Amino acid sequence: MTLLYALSVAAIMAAGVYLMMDRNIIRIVLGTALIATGVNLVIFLAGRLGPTAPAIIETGAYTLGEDAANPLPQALVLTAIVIGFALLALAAIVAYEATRALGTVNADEMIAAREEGNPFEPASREGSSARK
Amino acid sequence: MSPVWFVIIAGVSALIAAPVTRAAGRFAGPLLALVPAFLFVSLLMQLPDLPVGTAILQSIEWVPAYGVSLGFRLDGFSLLFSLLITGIGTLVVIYAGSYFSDDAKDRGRFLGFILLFMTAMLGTVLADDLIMLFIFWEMTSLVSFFLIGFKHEDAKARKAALQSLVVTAGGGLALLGGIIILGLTAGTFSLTEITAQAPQIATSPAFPAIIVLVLIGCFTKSAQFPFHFWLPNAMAAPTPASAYLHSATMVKLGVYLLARFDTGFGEYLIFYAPLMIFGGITMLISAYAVMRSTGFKAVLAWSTVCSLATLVLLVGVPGEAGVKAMIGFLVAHALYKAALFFAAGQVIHSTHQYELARLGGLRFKLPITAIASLLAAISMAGVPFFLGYKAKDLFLTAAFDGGSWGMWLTVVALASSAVMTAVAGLAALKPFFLKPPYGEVKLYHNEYYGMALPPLALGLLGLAIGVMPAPAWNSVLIPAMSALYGSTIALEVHAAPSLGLKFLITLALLASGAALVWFWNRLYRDPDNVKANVVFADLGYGAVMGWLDRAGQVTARLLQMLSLRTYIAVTLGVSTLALLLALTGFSADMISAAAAEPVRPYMAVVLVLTLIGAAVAAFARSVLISILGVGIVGYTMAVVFLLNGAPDVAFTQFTVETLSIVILLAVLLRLSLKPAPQQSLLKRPLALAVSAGFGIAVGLGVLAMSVLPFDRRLSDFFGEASYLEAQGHNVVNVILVDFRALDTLGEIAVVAFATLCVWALLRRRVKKEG
Repeated sequence: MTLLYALSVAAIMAAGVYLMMDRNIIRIVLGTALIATGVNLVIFLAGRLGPTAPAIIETGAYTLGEDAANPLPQALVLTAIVIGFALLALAAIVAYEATRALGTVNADEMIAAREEGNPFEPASREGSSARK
Repeated sequence: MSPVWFVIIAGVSALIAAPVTRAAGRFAGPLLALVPAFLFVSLLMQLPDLPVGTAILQSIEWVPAYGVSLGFRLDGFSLLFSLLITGIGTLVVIYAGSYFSDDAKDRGRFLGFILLFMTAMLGTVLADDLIMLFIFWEMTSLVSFFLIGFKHEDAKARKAALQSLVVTAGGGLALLGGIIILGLTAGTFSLTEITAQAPQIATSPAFPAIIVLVLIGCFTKSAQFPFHFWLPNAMAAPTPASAYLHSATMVKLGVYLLARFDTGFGEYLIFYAPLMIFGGITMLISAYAVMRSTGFKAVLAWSTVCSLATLVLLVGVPGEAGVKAMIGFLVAHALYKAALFFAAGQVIHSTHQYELARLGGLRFKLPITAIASLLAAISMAGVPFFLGYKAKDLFLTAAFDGGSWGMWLTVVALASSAVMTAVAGLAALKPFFLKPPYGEVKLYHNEYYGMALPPLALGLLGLAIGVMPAPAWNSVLIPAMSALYGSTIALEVHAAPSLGLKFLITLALLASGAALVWFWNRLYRDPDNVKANVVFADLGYGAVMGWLDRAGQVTARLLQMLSLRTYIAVTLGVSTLALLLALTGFSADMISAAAAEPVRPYMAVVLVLTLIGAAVAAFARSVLISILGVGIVGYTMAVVFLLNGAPDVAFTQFTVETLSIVILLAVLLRLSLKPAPQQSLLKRPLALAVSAGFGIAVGLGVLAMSVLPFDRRLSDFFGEASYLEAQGHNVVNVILVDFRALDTLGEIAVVAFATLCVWALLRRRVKKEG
């Protein structure tokens, strides 16, 4: 079973990185979301799988039963999911604003637009003048 | 009054300077001058409590863990310096009040800086703890930066300010290094204790490093070769600041610290030889440069560099003669040079003329300034019955007694003395008493008393000490010499010159100085001579700063390629290699072991769906389908959580995934742009290789992780404590809101900030469109 989980993690991570290396800024945002999901799964797996009962102390008992799942990674993943969502929302809106402002979803073109104000690049470099 | 109060009172006066100036208007200068005047008198009243060879020590604990304390030390030498700082400070404040009479706002700002500077200076010379000394030392560099760049709308002033900061603060870093090594070697930062155990420190292997670093710090501060160039440029500062910081006090801090070290380390060749060599070189360079300068303040600035070099050289001269000459020259120079700067400020202020060549014949137009200037110049030239004569006499004595260095000392001493005499004549006499070469000089306003009386006071003081030497020498100068020398120095000072070889030399120097003044016009109008100025300018500094700039550009180009793909390829490529390297300890057995585990069929189906989702997200041609792929991965993860005993996590994941898809779709639909062309799979070998490599590395990492022994201690603790200590049945909830409540608060804060950012971005858009 671990093999399958590891395969899933590998697939999610690879897909995420592949998307992040795309030119389309929306795909870059999707890539970050996938990587966040993949990391959550790794954290979850780090607590080891096995018992499938929720980590809830039975009525009348004082401590968690032996057959309950590990509560610690669950708490960590809960926090991570919410933060990942905040990140995705912010990234999506920034991508949206950048696209609206610069008229392109192509991250390379966005950088070229920014380069016109870059003090380290000579003004006559090709690309910056062509897009004026 | 204990030493710390001097610093505190000065500091408070700096804080209230601006509001007081606003309230007092024209009388702000004299009013604020009461503070340094009061400090000056209080310092004089310390004299009876401070017999020769004693020191008042005061220590307030500051950082005891590192052995750093607010340690103060008031002895003869620091008293002399403090008197100069507060005495000349009083005059500078009065002078500046008049100097900025046209602009009330500038006046308040300037007086605040000057008093702040005075605080820093007092702190430096009263410090016994070297860390504290360093802090005040750097504070003087900072205030100097603000004062040089005071006319901040002038690009030249800004450049000069930055240059002085780079040089002096850079040297300050070297000094800090030296102080820290010294403190670690000696086990204390107290100057008194370090001086006491100097012989032991000198045997430590770190000794050469300490001395070199401290020398760099002192040489930058006191403008010694090869750091001499910043001081003439610092003349961009308003003249009162030039007189105070860049002539009378701050630039002497390097000399001050060298003299302090000389008490303990003066006999070691590694310490005194550089002082003699670099001091001598600086003297020759500046004596030459002063002959080529044309600006009024530039001439004074180069002559100041020359005087500082003289002091450095005299600190290096071993034995009593060097100490005597150093103290004598220090005081004489502070008095006459400040007076000459004051006079120059008056001349420039009233004529708007910066070039010495164009000035002349002002003696009746600026009579008090002319007299003050004359008095200062006579002292500087070393005419008998003036303080400057005695200083020059002691200097020549030290040079003749110089032992194996005697020849070098004598040559430098004579050369620079002749030039200084000429400068005295030039700066003091030409503007007032020689015929103006280009016709009458236009006067924009008459003499201001606030600017004329301070130099007169200094000039008269130089005459008074010359005629009646006993009080000043016996109560201030000789105790200072003794404090430095470490034992009582006997010196009898008479007003009348003693006839002999030295007297003849003095007369010869006066004559050669007069000759130089006479031929001055011819000397510096020669265009070749003006070109020679370049040799002594800041070419080296410019080159170093230029290299720094270029190195910065090259690094920036190398590291900041402005391409997300490259950044990811580099960081993840390196991470992948590191991960694989760390995994070399695991064998292939772990894969077979993992493969042998029983498979839960329905879970396998879910995970296959995950794989499909990931593939769709990565390779779909349309972004819309990609979003669906991401959604599939998210929902299958929720199922994974649900089937592994984590219902809370699963529900959160369901909710968040749904919201994410809604947001992404909304963004995409609102954009409604034509789909960006996506390159086909095979055309992106780099992305494919990096992502596949990273995925495989992380997957192997997960496998490796699963065979490592598991540490349950934390989980068990939460399982046992949740109900008994926090009264909660749902352990996950208890962890989030109780045991790790601060984490959760941080998480909420992150979400809140993200929301604020999103809201701000969207609101801007709505406003623009609405």
